[in-house]
Amino acid sequence: MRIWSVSNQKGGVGKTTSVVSLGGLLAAQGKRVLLVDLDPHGSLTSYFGQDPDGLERSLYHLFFEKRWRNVDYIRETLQPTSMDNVSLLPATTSLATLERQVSGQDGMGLVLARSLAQLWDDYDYAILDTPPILGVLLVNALAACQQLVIPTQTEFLALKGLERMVHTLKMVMTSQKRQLPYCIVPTLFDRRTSASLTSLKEMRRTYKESLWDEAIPVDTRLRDASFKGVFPHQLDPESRGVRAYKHLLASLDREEP
Amino acid sequence: MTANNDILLGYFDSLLTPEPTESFVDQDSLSNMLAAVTDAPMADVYVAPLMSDTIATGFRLIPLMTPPTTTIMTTALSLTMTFELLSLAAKLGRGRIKTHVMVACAGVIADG
Repeated sequence: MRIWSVSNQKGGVGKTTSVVSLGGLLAAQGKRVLLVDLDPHGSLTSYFGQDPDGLERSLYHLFFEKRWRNVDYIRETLQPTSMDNVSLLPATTSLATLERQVSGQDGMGLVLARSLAQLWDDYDYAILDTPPILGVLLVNALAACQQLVIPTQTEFLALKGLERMVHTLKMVMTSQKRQLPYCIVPTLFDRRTSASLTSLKEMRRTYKESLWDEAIPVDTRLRDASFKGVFPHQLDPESRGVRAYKHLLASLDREEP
Repeated sequence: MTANNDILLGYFDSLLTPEPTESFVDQDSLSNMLAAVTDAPMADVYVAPLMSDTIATGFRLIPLMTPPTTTIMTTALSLTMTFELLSLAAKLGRGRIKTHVMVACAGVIADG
């Protein structure tokens, strides 16, 4: 199983859209894909028609009573999506209380990694959608993944969030004594605005080596897909957004060790 | 390093350090692995998975059927688990599993 985390400590940068788009395209290639929602807001969970306030089981429950050891429990927690070979490990809003509940307990940053280890042979890829805040859930994602994708909106304020995210990543790598490859992905790019052009230029200047050399454009078809609860390529395989995500996927695949 | 970084690093270390009391490998697991390879030719041992083929610690665990490397061990094992493993391996009879575990542990201790 390959594990990618899609993370940024700033919200509204296209994390969930990136998770769904990349996951759908991998599944279209015949890969078995697991999407994991670590965000208490449950955007990814809602995307596929599940209610983050109403689910009986979610990622939340794996943090307690060491249930991550029981692979059957984890499998029974998974939810279907609009593609047969894509499953969802959903979030519930109770995840928002996790920080307080696990505070001070050593090793709580490794729960997701251990849970995914139980599903190692069930899936080819796991893609993690993380909350836009530094906490136990984001640390779990960074500890579990082998590749980090950092979507970054092409606007000035997003650059500060990117700086913070890279700083967090470096500290987690120091703590874990390992290197984690990361790819910065400019998103919501609108070539008609100077804000997009200027911030993209700044990203290229500051993060040249880790920056994807294209950008995900603003595309209303991506929003339409979320409204219908289907993967973007299922709605419109030739839309600008889907084509950009295909390029991104090819680029990420090339960088795989 | 700033005070803010110190606080954050302490937070990450706490979250990413396994509880000392946790046990991820038990005697049965190692015994089963040993039983699985006793009569197998060497070539098969390096191809076929043994049990779950891993020792769970976190991310990509230790493929027991492949020669371990220091790099993998360093990311996969904590010192606590290393000593736990060593104490279990000491109870096993001579064999490839025992050798692999000992080598893996030596890699972690040498690196740590």
